[in-house]
Amino acid sequence: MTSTSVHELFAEQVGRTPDAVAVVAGDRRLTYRELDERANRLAHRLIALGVRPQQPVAVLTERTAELVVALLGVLKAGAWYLPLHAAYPRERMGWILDQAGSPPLLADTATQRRGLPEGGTVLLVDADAELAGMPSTDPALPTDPEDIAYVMYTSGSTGDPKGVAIPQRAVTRLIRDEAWSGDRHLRVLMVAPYAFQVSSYELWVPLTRGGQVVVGPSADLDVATLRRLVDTHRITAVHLTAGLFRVVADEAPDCLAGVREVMTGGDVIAPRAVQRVLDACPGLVVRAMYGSTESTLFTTHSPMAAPFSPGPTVPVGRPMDGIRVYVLDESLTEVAEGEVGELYVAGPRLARGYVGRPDLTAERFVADPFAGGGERMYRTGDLVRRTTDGLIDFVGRADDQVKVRGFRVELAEVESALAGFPGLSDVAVVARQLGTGERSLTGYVVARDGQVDLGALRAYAIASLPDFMVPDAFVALSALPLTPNGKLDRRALPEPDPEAAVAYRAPRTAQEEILSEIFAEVLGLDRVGVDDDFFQLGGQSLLAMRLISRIEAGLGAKLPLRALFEAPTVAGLAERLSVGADPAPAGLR
Amino acid sequence: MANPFDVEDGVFRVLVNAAGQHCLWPEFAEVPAGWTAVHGPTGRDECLRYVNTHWTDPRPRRLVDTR
Repeated sequence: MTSTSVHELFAEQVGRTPDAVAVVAGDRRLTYRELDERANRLAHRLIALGVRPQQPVAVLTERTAELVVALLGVLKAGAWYLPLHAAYPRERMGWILDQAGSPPLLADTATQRRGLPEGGTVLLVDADAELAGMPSTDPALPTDPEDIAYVMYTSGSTGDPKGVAIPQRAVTRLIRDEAWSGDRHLRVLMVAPYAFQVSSYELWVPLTRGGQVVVGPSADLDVATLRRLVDTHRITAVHLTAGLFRVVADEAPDCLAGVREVMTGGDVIAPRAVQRVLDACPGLVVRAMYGSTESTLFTTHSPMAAPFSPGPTVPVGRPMDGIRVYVLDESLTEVAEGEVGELYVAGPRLARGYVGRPDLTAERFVADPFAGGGERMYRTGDLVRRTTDGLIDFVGRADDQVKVRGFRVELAEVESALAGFPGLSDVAVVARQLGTGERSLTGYVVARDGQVDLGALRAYAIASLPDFMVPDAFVALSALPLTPNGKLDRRALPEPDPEAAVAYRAPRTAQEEILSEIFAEVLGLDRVGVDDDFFQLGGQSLLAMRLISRIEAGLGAKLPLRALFEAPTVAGLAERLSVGADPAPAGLR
Repeated sequence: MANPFDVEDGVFRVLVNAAGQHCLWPEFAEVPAGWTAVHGPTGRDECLRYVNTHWTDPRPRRLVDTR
């Protein structure tokens, strides 16, 4: 019988290599058999709690071995997992759980300590007393390839997040792709938030092929940690977002030596970054990846190796197994080679659709006019062209959905969150491309009585949005500029003004001196006063990561990225550092 | 470039395939093989309203029939 589900493919691998190591998390090791038995116990526990096939089970845990057990256990119970991102504000999690009908929630003691969202029954995967007494045998429930394996939430244009329902068929096709064959994907570092679909590659590719999942820390990955993990665990493959890939390429490309394949994507890939990494690690394959949640992660890929001569862009390559791509114009006709059109994706990797939104599903997943047989195609909203070599080259977004640090953000969703701040009459959010190729969000607001506390607005945004959706700069205007036909005139919006910064105040201590030098270096400025706001000066999220990494190198102090969002000045960070480093560096992410 | 599915004042149909999946389809384009027009031609919002009231089970029809 051919396996129709992820957990059946895993069970077959348990039969082949029961004693091989499947999961490594810190000092912990789980063999395939141990992982299987733990997941079986959890599945029985869920069934005993009343979970029935094709019902949702929410997951909110740290990135641990138990997380892997939890996701597998949910699948074995015939249910689908609904991963919650620890960076989501509690209200957003609550909204998602509400939509799913308050399903059971798998959490752990760490996430419980930080506070769980309101919802259904909570089961602590690392502390539940009943688990040990459950049978360790596979519940062996029948599955259908069209059954849902998981639902992942992405930014939604109506202001609400959209849940993308991914069937087993799509995941099994992803993990069986030829791209993963050979010996490059044996020890895979799990670093993506498990609420994002890259985790499907990180988990299910190694676990259905006899490889190992090396579970990375829960905190944001920095270059020093990446180096340590790669060396300690002899990592053979890792996926890094395009932004992190660029930071690694700039700061320490040699830390990828020994790795066999690095995948990168989710945003524009810098050709120079690929070259720096391949120069430092000549044995490495760098694979450019392009995809979307709706087409189950990666759609096209392009492997690159030394010698590499960078072109103006890094094409995202050719379709993965079984995927069809069309580049179409406004009349749904294929454009000529080299011409820009919108990318449509078809084949067995398409999602079922958006949970609870038949209308949205019907307008994004449309009839495939080329395949016949009633098949669908997904319109990505991405503009691409085909190169003379037949490769897909990403050009940009067709609408105002943008990528920030690799995360998909719909500006309308950020706008609708900011509009909740008291006293505002108008809000606009725009994404600017910085010199580095990064996108930076700026929030423009108009106050009803002309007065708005931008600091309080930032705090409000931090409390209500994931950090990648928080604008890097805020500007107060007396009115939004409009075009003659009454639409927002985005081009007439003023750039955030670094001159608006407060009066210069010199560093007072040696520590402030060092911090101020690091700020100036990272921002490319001559000097930075102790009260100057990092983000007002043009700092954005990736520069923020760089700043945190330099502070660690310069002062030997580890700060979470969030500290900078909360205290974006030299004086503010100096105060944080003097009361001691964050007691829980894993916190809040 | 305006996507033909996003034209607010465009004329559309609603199509359905054998799995019971519904989709929006611009009137100017031929109905693809394997799909049947069940509503329209009419306005975009009217088509999406039709979808919301008639496509109430997102599962492919085969699954609905067997469970």
